[in-house]
Amino acid sequence: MLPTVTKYYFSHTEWLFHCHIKIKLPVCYSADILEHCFDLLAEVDKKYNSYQPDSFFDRINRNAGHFVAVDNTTIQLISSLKEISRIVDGNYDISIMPLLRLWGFYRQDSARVPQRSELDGVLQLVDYSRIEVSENRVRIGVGQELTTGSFLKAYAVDCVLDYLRSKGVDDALINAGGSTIYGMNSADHPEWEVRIPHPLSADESPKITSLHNACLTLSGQANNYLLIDHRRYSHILNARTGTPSSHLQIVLTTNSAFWGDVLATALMASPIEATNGFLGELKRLHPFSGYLTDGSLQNYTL
Amino acid sequence: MHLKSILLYLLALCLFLLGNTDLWKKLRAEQVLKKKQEETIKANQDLESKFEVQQLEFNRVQNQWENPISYFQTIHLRDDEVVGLRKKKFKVRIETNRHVEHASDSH
Repeated sequence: MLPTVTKYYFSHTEWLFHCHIKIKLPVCYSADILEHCFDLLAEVDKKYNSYQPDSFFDRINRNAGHFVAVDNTTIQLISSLKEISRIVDGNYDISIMPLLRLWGFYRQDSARVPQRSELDGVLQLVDYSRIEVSENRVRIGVGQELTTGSFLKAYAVDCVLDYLRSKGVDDALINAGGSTIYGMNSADHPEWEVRIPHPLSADESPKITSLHNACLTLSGQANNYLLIDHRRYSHILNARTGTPSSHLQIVLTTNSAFWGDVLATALMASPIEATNGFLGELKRLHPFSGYLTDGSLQNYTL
Repeated sequence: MHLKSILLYLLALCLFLLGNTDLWKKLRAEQVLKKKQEETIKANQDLESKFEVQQLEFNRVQNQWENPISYFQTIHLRDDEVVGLRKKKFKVRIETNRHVEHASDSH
């Protein structure tokens, strides 16, 4: 349903977490609040992003094999992520970085399909059970490496939402790279409209959905993929088999950006036949709804 | 024959120009005078810029001379001081709630 009253918003966009993040706030609020939102995002990036020098996750990676003192937020994040890995039987795993490197995601030269023996060797290092949490310290195994790419941007969005709520804001929108979109709604603005792209064509957007005080998370391979010898491979890898996901797209609605992002990645990484086995347990961990489109364009309601 | 006439004519012309020393002296003197005038003007401009002229008005109530125009003292800062004082301007755009957001898997 389209809104009947046109409301005006201050909007600002910055490049953070390797994407454009846009925040919209009604003009009745000071632009200072908007500016502080981006300061918060930058702070989370600096403190936790595994690609940022001397962040908590960077320290954990550089000191693999040794315990590293971290803060409560890092402990909570890792504990939640390990729980998801357990539920999905290891198909999703934040210690997947060595596998990403093997597939060439961080190489400048042309990528190639790894051989089975190479995959098996690297998969020895991809094991969430070797991430040890002890009070305020974390240790990973020697050779292991964690990546925050599947959750940190969304966690930062949740931090901004907490801040906005503390300021009494009840109407706003945060669009982080198009893959995490949170809409806050007030009585005079009941919903935001979001266009969903076709799973195979980024230029087509046949669906429009509405958001009401919720987060929409989208993951797919219309834009984001690895090209090897003229063939496209999904950027989401299955942490158990080491191979790219065959699913084309997933769209989830949650009330938390962090859970939306992690659950979407976990479900994209898991084979469809295994998903039915843990869908209920995932929903008990954090409620969500949505659908998944597999490689033959068949939709599965989640 | 025609060629010879042309050459003789050109020779005569050169002799006239080069032999007329008064003409060259006059031109050189004009150049020197012009240069001196330009230097004088520039020197006067430089001199004026060193001094600031302010007009004062007598305030009968306060019984003192006052400058009705605000003047600012120039403070020369080092480059790093200027950088430290400068804050990146936060720019905002205006959008409405009717703008449809686009979901994307690009990131």
